[in-house]
Amino acid sequence: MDFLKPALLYLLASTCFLFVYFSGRIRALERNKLTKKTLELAQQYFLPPYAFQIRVGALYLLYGLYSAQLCQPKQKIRIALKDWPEITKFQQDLIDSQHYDAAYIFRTLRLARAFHFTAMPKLLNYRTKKKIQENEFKEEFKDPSNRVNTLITNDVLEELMNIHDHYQKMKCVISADKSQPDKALSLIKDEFVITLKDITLEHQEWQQNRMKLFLNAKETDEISSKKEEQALLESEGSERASALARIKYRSYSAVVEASKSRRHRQVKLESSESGSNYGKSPSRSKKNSRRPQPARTRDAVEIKGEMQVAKKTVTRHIGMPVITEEENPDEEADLVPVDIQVKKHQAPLLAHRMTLSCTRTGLEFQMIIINWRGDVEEVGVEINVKLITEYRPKELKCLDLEEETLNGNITDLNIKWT
Amino acid sequence: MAAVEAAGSAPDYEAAELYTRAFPVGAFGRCWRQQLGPPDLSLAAEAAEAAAAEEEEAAVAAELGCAAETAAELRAVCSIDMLMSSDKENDPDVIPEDSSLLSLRIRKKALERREETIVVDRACRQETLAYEMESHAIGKRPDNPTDLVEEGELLLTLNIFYPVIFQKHKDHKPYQTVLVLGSQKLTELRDSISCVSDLQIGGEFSSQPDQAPEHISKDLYKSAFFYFEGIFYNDRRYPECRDLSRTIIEWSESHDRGYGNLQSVKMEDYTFNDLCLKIGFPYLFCHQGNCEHIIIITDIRLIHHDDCLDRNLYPLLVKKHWLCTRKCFVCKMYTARWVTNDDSLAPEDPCFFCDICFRMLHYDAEGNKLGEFLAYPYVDPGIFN
Repeated sequence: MDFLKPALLYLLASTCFLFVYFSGRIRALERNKLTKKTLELAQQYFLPPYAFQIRVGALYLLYGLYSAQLCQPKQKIRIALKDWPEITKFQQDLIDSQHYDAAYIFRTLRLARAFHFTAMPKLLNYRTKKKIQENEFKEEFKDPSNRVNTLITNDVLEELMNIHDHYQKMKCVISADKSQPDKALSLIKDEFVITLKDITLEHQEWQQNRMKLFLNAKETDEISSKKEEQALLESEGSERASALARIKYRSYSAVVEASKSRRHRQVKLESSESGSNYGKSPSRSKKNSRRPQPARTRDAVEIKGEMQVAKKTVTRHIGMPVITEEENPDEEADLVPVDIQVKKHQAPLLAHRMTLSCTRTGLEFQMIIINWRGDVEEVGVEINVKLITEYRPKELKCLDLEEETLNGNITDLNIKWT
Repeated sequence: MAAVEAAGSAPDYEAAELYTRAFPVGAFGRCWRQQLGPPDLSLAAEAAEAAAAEEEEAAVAAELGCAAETAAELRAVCSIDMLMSSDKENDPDVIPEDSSLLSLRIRKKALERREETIVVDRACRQETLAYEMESHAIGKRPDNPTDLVEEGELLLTLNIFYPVIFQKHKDHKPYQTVLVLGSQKLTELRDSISCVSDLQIGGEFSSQPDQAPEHISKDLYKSAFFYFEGIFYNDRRYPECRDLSRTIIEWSESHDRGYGNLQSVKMEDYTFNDLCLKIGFPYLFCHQGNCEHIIIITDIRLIHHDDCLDRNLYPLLVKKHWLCTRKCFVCKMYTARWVTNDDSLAPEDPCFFCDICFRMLHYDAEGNKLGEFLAYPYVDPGIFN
């Protein structure tokens, strides 16, 4: 009975609280809805693909929620027919591994007739709801089973070792020299089994590291969001407003005012959507200092225009948590200044977003390049770009330039590392 | 073995989170009944709790295969009482001051804000109605034991949509929710669907308003059909019923339009258990020739002992949309019952009147018609509120 972890108990207690202590202030209709929703949420964790421990936790949670709810009659837990075989199997597993407490709880729930035996886990309503919210999936609760581990177990390795030994001996027996197999018979590598074991171990390690990385990334995310929440809770009004203002300032200050004739086509910078972006790009704040626009000189063929460059890294991929380690200040050293030279445009280059990709890693950088010398016929410009990455791509390729003012080709884009 | 079978025939999504594959309703019910034991299906008022402690423990020990002492210990450790915190008295209305739980703190804030801003804190009419509709039949048992719903009976939840398309319902179509039993005939559902188009009275009655509410459409035009999975279930109980689906089937077959083989059968021959359905998929009920209601089966499950167990109360209406009523133009108080066109006495065309105002305005003391107008009986969609 030592199975129940304190964390689970805590989870249980915290949710039950809501029902026990305070449901009275919610009216009956709302209370029914809330209870239904809560049970539905808890029920998800009771089913695969979640790990055994999580499922036991969910069972406890369901037990607590069901028993402590104030609804009269009690709201029921929905079980779909397709999930039932899994549940009976789970029950058998509980008994077999002698987790009597969980088995007892499940039995109590069944005897209390706490379940609705349904066709589907949810009520289905064809497109009458405006939007279907996506079910987010708790990756870290998932059973860490994978194909490699199920395929290559300890038993299999041992068996392979035996077979290999046997095979080797057989070869010795039929060879001329009884102590060593014939050269002609050496058809597989001798350390085949050991290599296989190493590879498997390596794979496992890699997977664990990946999981850790993923969790870390999540944690940092959570911490920042928690901080925000805390701030919200403590003083909703003024601080929130000022924080918003700060964010807005940051995003708008990167836009350079267009010359008067061009003001109708002024650039709009999208404000950064994710909070993780703000407050941690040291380079940007430095560059934000606006410089006076140089006087327009039409006859200059080569103008060193200054460009404001804002960068935005795509952090949506889970498998790419590279850029999250920006906390340490010595990161500055890793900033790689890049020189991009854009030469020979037929068309004016006003402002556009350019996606650069370095081909080897598939990393994508999005940068917004703003040039106020738009109406100059031929422009050769130098763009200073700073990339925050450890990796120095040898070749940057210009993918697309999406802006209607740019009609000319931009094939001669040279990038120099400085 | 049984488990494998269940997994094979269990309904599953065809489009994730939207609707399922078509499956035979009756077989699905049988499948569940095979999987479950009598205690799960029992509809007895309360599970036999009177069983003595020792007996209970013995049962636990036998079922889980553990020692009797373990069973006793389990009873003590895992009891429901252990879930409640013991040190404080449980007043569900009061949130403790020292709570460290985020959910409670947030709720507390919300409650405080509400106290400041809301003058009257009570449920609105709609909410009260919705709750009453939802709960009025819960746990009801019949006086006559023969009317008791059988164990293992299926319960279907249907959403029946109104055919109205007002601008304000563009995003959220109004519907009513009905519970039916698997063993009930389709005709029972058909009879329970209330729709204003059944109550319409055809004709113009400006010269003899007293004669009007004699024959409503329901009595005149009794044909109707359900459409489920390629089959039209036509109501043919009365000799005057017509096969409304015939034109549709002929249309579909005439040019080989790719709708497959549409069949037409009699509605009264089928129960819900005989059907093959997709949950969450839109189907059709059509009556009065062209009054079309979308029907969505949102849920099918086994009946539970907390449900309404009186067979006679099904089909059971549990949710209804509150439709606005059109008021009389004169008194602005009563629901309109007449509508007039080309009315020399009215400021609008068409104009709506309640019965009393209509007669006071349009007829003299002897019942003679005053002025020129055409009068039609009007049935408001809100009369079922």
